[in-house]
Amino acid sequence: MKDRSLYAVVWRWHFIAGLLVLPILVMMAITGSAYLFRPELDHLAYRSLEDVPARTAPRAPLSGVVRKVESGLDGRVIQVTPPDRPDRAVSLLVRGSKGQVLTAFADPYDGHLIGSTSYGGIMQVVRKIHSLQKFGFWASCIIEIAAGWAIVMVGTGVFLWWPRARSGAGVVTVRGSPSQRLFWRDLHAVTGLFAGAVILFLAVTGMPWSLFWGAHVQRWATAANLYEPPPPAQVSPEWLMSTTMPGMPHKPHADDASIRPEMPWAMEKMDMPTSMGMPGMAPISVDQAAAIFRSRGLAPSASIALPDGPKGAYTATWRPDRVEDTRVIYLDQYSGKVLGDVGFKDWGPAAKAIEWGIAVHQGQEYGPLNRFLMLAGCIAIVLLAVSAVAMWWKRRPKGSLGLPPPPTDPRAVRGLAVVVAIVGVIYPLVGVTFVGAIAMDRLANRVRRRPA
Amino acid sequence: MPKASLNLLAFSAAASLFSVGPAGAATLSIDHAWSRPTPPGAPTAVGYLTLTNHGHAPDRLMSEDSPAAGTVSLHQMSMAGGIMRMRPVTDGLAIAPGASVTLDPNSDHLMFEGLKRPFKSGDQVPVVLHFQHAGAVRVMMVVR
Repeated sequence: MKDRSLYAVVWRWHFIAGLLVLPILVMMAITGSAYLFRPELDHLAYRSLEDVPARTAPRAPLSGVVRKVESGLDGRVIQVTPPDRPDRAVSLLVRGSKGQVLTAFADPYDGHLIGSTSYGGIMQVVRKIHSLQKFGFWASCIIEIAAGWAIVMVGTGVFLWWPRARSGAGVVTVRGSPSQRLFWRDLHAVTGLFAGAVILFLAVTGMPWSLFWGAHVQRWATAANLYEPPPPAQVSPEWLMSTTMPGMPHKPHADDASIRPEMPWAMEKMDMPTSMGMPGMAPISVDQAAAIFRSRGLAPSASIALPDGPKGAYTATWRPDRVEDTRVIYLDQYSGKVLGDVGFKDWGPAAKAIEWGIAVHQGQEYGPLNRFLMLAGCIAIVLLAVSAVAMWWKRRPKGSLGLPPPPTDPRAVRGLAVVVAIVGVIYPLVGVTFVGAIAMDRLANRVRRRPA
Repeated sequence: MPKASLNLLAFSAAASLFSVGPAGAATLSIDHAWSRPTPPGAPTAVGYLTLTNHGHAPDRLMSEDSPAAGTVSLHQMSMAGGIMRMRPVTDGLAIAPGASVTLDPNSDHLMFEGLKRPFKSGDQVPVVLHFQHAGAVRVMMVVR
């Protein structure tokens, strides 16, 4: 009896969670699938800008490319990324005279401007929809809540799936035909079983991007990586001073959250090292900076962010698919001295774990298998949503939602409450919505019982 | 020495437009010719202006040159499906009778390559525009 009551309450909450977040999860699954194939889709959309005829001619100096692009777009180049193959264009971020940021492409051999798109092009739009950041701060809080509820759905779903006195049928195999509710119930349960782990992983590793939980953890993890363990020896004393002395001007990378040169998540909130210029000192050219970066073993196709103002530093960022190979080098723009050389090995354990999660979430860390596993997770989410709606439709009652009945045994609620409380404490914003949902449910029950 | 020569070129700043070609230039006016200052050592600069055809026949800007740069070319911008493309104009820029064509930071521009020296704010940079019918027209570009 107790078990049946617990089953009812878990089912009820699985149902409520589904109602609330399924549309958002489906949206995330679709945009996420597309984003897994960002390089391919980018090339499909912007072939006419990205492709150049391969030549054996030497490449134009980066300073010439930067200057031509600045002339052509009447703006300032923020970052330049040389191509990693001979038939691709140089890619640049440019801030226009009106403040708008563009992604521009230039010929690597003669440096001429080929053309431009909005910042990050169409895939940046996909990314902003995936996180709902396109629709403002509150919209992106919904994403954090949806991810939290998705965790609850996986937990309650596994409980509902758990084989009780039944044979293997409906546990790992699907019974019936699409005309029967049983078929959709089994499809939902079996898909959920195989995809549950991937969905749980995607929800947990997606959280670091969120604007509430993610931003707080980012600040904490960044601080952890800079101060404990002690800063790596490659960090210059000037930089250390500027980041630890109170009252020093702080200039994090991500001061404009929507637009930034490509930085690892773990370093976005870190303060930039500053260049120490004496009056009359001329900055080194981007060509000299690039030569210094290469001499330290950085790939020639690493992105180079140009100094932002007289105190800024040249910043080279190398972000290959494998997160362990990530490396960022800072140069004093006047002396060419290395101000910092920070990579995966220098981050704190939290930053390492979160960055690893991000790399797997984006399908990059373990090659094609990784990418297709994440794609399978996305397809499973859509399949779960379709089967959920189908099984509800097959047994829909007239005149009500068809919500499973509230439990009569209050002890049954406690088991679920523990799971919900753990998720709610880790993700406070999600926890607030749990409390809200439970209060609403209680209130609805009381109103319903009163006439009886 | 290069400084002196550019000052000489800038000497006729007051008359910002005068014809060095055959008659017919009066049907064309060139206004608001300007450029941006360039950082030291920059190999390129940009130029903007407005061309107006007051005549009754179409004309065409065929080529450009300047004593301040190795080459000058016209770059034309086109937008399609969120993609902006920049291409050098090879067959000239048509100006219909009674029409104006503006080169500005949001559209087309003149590209100066192989600068003899940086453009500084307040400089006057001469450019010669070669038209199909109006011939060569010299204009002073204000750096600001």
